[in-house]
Amino acid sequence: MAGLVVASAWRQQRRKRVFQSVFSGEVTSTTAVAGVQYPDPGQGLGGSKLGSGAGHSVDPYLAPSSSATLGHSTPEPQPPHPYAPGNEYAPGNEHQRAYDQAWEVVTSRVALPASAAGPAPGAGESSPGLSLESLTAAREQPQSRRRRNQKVDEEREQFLQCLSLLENAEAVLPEARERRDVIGWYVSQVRAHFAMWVVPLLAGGSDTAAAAAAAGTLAAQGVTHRRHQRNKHSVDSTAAGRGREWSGGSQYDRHMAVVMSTIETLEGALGMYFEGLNSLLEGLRRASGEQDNSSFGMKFKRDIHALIANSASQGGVMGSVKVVLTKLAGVILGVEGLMVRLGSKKGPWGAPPAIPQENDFDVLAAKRKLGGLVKQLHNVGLTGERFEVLFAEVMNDMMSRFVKGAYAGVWAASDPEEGNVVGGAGTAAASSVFTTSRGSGGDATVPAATSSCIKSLKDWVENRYAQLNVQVLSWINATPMSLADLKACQSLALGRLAALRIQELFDIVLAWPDAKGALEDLKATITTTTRRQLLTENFSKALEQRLLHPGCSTLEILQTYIHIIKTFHALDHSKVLLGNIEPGLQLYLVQREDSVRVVVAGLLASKEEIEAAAKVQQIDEDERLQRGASGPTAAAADLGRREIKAQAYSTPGVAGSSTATTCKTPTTRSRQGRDSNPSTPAPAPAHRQGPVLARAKKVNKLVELAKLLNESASVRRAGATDDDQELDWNDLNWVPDPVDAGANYKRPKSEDVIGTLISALGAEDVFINEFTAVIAERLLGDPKSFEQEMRVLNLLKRRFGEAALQKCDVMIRDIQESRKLNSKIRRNNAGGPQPSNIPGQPPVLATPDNKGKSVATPQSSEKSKEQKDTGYHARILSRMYWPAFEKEHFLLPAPILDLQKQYEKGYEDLKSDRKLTWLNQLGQARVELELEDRTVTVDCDTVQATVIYAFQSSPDSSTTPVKKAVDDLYLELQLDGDLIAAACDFWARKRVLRKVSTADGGVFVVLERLSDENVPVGEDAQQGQAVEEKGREKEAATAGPKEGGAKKLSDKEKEKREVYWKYIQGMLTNSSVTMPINQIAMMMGVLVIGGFSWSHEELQSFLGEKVEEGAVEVVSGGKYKLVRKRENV
Amino acid sequence: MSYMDDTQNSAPGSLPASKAATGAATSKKVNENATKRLQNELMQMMTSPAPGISAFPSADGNLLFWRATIEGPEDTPYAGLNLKLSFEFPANYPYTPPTVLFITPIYHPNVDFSGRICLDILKDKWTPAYNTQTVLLSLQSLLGEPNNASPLNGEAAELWDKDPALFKTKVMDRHKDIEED
Repeated sequence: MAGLVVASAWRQQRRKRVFQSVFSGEVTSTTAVAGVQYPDPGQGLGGSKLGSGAGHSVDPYLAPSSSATLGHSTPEPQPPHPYAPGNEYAPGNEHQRAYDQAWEVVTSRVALPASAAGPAPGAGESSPGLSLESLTAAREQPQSRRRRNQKVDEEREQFLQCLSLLENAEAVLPEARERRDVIGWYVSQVRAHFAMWVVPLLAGGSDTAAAAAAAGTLAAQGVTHRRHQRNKHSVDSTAAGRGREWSGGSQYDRHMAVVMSTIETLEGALGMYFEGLNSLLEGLRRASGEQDNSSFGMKFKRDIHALIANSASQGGVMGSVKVVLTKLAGVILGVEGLMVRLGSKKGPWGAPPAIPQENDFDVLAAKRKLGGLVKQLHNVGLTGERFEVLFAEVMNDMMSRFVKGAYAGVWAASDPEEGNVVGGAGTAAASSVFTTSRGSGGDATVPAATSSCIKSLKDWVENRYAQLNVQVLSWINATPMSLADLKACQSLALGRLAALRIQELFDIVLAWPDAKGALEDLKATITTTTRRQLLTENFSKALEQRLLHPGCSTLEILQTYIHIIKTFHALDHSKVLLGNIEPGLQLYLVQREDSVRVVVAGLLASKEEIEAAAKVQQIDEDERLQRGASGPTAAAADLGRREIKAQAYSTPGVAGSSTATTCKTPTTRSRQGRDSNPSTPAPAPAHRQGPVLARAKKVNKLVELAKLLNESASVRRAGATDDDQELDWNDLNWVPDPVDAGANYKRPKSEDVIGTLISALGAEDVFINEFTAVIAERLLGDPKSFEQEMRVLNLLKRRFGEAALQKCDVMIRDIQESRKLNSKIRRNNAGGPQPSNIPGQPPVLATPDNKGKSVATPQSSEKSKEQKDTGYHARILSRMYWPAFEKEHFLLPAPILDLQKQYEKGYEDLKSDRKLTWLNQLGQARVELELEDRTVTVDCDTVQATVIYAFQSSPDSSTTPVKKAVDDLYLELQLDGDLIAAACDFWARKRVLRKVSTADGGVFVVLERLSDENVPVGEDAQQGQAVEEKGREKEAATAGPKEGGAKKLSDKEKEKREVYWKYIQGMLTNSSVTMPINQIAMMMGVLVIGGFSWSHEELQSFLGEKVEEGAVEVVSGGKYKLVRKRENV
Repeated sequence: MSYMDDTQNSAPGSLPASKAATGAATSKKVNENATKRLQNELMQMMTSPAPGISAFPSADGNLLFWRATIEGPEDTPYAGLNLKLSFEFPANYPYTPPTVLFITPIYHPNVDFSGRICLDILKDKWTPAYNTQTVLLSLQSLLGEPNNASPLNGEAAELWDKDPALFKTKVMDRHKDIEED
């Protein structure tokens, strides 16, 4: 008995837990009512009842939640009954005894079985308890008993008599004070039974489901673990067994089995309950002759359904129901097939996939199955509110999955497709009405915006989704869908589509202009502020993750940016969205030092480069067409091939084109280095950056910009007038400003890629400065016409104004003037000194610098007297208007120096008050080399020409090739060793020099005959040399300019420190004798022109240095003070 | 101090700074020009300083008030002395001259006891081509070559020629290094 009590206590606890979690308030209130209603404390037998209640259960339903009493009251016919007649009753109270006997007969007859066998005391826990079979058997029991009772008629008669006795106790047995309500007892009995036997089963089902959900070994582990945890639970072993069995089947099947078994269990239990109830009610009807207790049956049913619905825990059976519903709804709505497509990623890219038709066999089967299931669930009362919520969740999930499955990656602006299914059963009436266009957004003015995706999605919602909804809801007698609900559904679906497109937006941008369809979707769906905000947030995040990292070159970023500008312009003419995503991008671009340079280089791209780029694009296009439609994911796959092609094109594009001087800039050079580096576009990371890379590899310049610049010249002129007008009253396409527009928002008309790009690069003057630098480089580099530069300059002038680009004007004029001057000086030199006043000579603005350009032929300089006059050109630069050039010192070859001096003299004759400063390293030279077996003509820069001139063979030693070491040349030419080495390597590549040793910084010998190339000379000549030299050359080429830059920078920095020091000195002398660092920083910020560029820390460390030097001291309060010089005092 | 409201150094035709600009907008504009000009002057002085003189805006960062220092030139009675001056620039500077005063008490024929200076280029001879540095250089040379024809301090003018030793004593007596924080 003790064991039973302990076990029961445990079970009670558990049940309480369930109850509390589900409907804690209800149960307690029920027992409370029972307690108040049925026992009558005012009765005389109250004391004895109390005693019996304390000892054993006289009144089973008094404490329905007490397992001990319940355990006893379970209707076991044989076991010795605790309250046998005569045990406790006062001998005189015959009525009470008769009543109790009648009660005994009635209750034992309709009492509910605990299991088939019934729990023997103490054995109840060890037995597997209530399994499905036992319960089914238990359900059988009353039937068999009834059969037996039908045979034994008197038993039935007795039951009915007893029942009527109980019913009419007041009249028949007036002495029996203690009366009880049979129906009430039965209801509480049912509750107790349900809680005791069915609820654990439901819970067990849930456990099983959970076990089934876990896969393979995990499932087994989970089961054993659970068994350890709750090894007293009777259902456990069964559940574990089931879990193991089911872990083999598909998840759906397992959950389906759980659901079906649950339904079966509940059906069984319900059948049992109603059986008992009906016999009770029937008996009562007979006894009282009333007919009205059928309503009580309804109430009982409702109650028991509520009980079931509440007990079916969310994660348990309902979890399985959800899985099953998901599966079936998925099949019916055609979502399942889409998931397969998404998984394999093989679906056609461009057109929405075919959704399985409504009358497809699978769909019909699933629908039938679902119908049956839902109806069954409804019968056992599992279709309560919770089911509705569940179903709503499933449908919600379906919508998401459908949108994702059907439209992810479907971006093409395909021609309007036929709706998947139009009409159909169910909501036929509704569908005719629903085909009106959605009106929730402000897009009614743009009817074209309804893309095929949106159309098919709306059709789907209307004909499939809503229909299923309506059917299921009608099966469970819930409120049917209204027309407004459907519209809400549709707009919900469009919202999902918007979210999907927002997720994909970055890829859409990359695919521009191939993804216009997706843009249409997005345009039509981003109608709310929240969505717009979501879009900008998401896109900014994607940008950061996928583009703005060191793995992307500036060119790629800028190209993507152009796509972004175009895409967003297509998406939202107002530019508000673009403006919202731009800040991060701009911030990043400003950090990239070469971004301005790339843009400028792109603007100045020559026609040849544009054509080359177009060709590459064309080939890509063809390739794509050949390979069929290729998705953005596929683009990454052929990265390698594209790259090779890009290289093939970049060679003629840069080296062959005469104007491609920007390839000399460090950035471009390093990019070329990357191109030839096979490890850069590794396929593994390419799957994320793939599209970007693939696109960027095509060209190595932003030729798009040049194209745009050329195109926009005419377009913008037309657009400019539009921009100025405040409001065009006849503009039928007018839409109000977006809600998220700023206060000073002005609607731009054109997409204006260049303008946006330039403004993204920070301040206008930064761009102009960079543009000036590039122009300067190009002007100095190329001797031919500057048509492209002039055109770009004029276009930029229109944007920035004349004044901003004045420098460039001056520079171009300098070059032009220089040409005139050249011929003049040549004439003068030829005809002897002349008077220097030339009429109409524009004043040169400042002390001119000069850059020598020599056309020299070092090997044959002695033979051409006349070349001296014609071959030497100089460009006179107005110093203030050109970027600062560092003067590189080296000794020019003597003949060139003579020419230079002549020129200088000629110039000073022309302009008496001006002096020339020569910048020898900036020139170009044409070198003609007469070697033994060939003549080589090379255009090179002056440094290279000077170096090769040093190899000129003297007349006497003409038999052996000249051989020189870099270190010797260093002394001879007084030129930087690295530059010499670089120049030597240059000539080695031209097969003029040959490296024979690495001693003394490298020893080179003139390659007089090409056949000598492979003859080993000296000890160091080896096979691997060529490779080594190439490596060195590259190194030198990249290192050279960088070093110069660093040196210049440090000079600048030094200068700056000097000036700042003066400021601080002046400040501490005059403003205040002592100053804290904050005040110094503040003063500097106010006073230094162009802003004080140091951070607080820099200033502090600078002052610290000065303190160490003894120039400044720190006085009280951390203030700085100049140390007084003592010499004057 | 009383010297602040003194307009003695202003050119006769020029208006005081506060009255020069009428409208607020023009005043601001003018002010901006003056500030810019002064910034440039400062830059110039910092990058190419002249020996013995220095100047800098006052500690509150107001560009219209400067402090300057002149080291007394050798071979003058002021050798080894540090002389502090204040500059107050009008809003329409450089079209009107700044108001310049000696803060350090100085015994000099052309400076009165309030520090006011009698120098033509600070009055009618002022042109916008002058700047702070040229003014300071002029003052520096004034220390060695006072204009005794139009003295503000008659006694000093007399002593300069008559008794240089006494003059020197007077200078040293009068001089007082001012420490300011």
